[in-house]
Amino acid sequence: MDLSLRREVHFANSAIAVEVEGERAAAIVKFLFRSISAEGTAQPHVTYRVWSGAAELVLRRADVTLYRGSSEAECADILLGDSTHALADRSSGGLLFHAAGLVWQGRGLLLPGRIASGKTTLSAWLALRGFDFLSDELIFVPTGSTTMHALTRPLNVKSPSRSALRPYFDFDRHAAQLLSTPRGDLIPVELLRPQNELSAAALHAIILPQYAPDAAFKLEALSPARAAFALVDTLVNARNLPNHGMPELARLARSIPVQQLVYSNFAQIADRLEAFK
Amino acid sequence: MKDHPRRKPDYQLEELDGELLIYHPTESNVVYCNQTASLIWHLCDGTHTSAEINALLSEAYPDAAASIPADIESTLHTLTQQQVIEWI
Repeated sequence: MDLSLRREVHFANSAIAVEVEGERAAAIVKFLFRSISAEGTAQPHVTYRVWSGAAELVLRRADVTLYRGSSEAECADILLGDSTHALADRSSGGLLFHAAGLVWQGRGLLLPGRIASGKTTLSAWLALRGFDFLSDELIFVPTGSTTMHALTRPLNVKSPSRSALRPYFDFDRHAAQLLSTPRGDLIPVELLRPQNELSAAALHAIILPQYAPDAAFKLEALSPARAAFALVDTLVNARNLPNHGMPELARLARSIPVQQLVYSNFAQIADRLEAFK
Repeated sequence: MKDHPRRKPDYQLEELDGELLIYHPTESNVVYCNQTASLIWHLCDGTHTSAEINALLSEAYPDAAASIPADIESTLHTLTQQQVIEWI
């Protein structure tokens, strides 16, 4: 493992750079970015520096210190969140959704949703049910296409979701392979699904999940206009796109069936899993 | 009295199966209109009062005449609040 290196991270026509020094720092960067392309045409617009010494980790973005301490998990959590935001900020040339992405036998499923919509927990559960996992955070659909490209990174499972996933995933047995903070766990995808095939996929369906405690299950088809309107909320790079991405959203909504999902537990979904395939 | 609703300029439309998305090319606001609201939007050309819009739609859709006044009031209220129409 290189102890001093510079790595670029490319996604959705955007790029950042990460300069690393130290073994622990290198391990963090490998943990977070090993499945994301290091090559592309975009020029990195921000550089992170991760340094590890005997007892300390330091993370900087340009001249700003984002973390100084001894916790690999805290450092990784901050770097993951900040770098994801930085990549999204300059993305163009397509629709970038705040979304999970999965694949069932070559058919891509997009799960767009804001924070607390349940998309990470739902996508983790679907991966444990045999879906190939692409991302729990960002999915990019290039202009004019219906192919989904994923920012494939460790799942970021928030602490409140642990109880929902615990029947299906042994957090304690895998503790040494996770990076855990009081806020949640970073879980490598291969722990959920060892045979996971990470790739882009043709988009087959879009489901907008909304977790609501005690809610009755609902899976409702949306008209193309209602679908495009709902997708606006999850489009993170609208200001970088012509006409705020509206023509592209409309094109996608005309091409791909969109449904609204409301659920309160996985048993409801297990009974209707064919709708997700 | 300004009682003629008029679509503001520069707003773009995406029409999908009779429903509308109204948006501005440089602002983040997007308005969804179902089929009824889409009809009302199209009649906001600055030459009709809301009463005249009511009369036109009630004549065109007599089976829905009972609900049209409320639909018009609600739609015009929303379009005004969203600042996609002005009153002249």
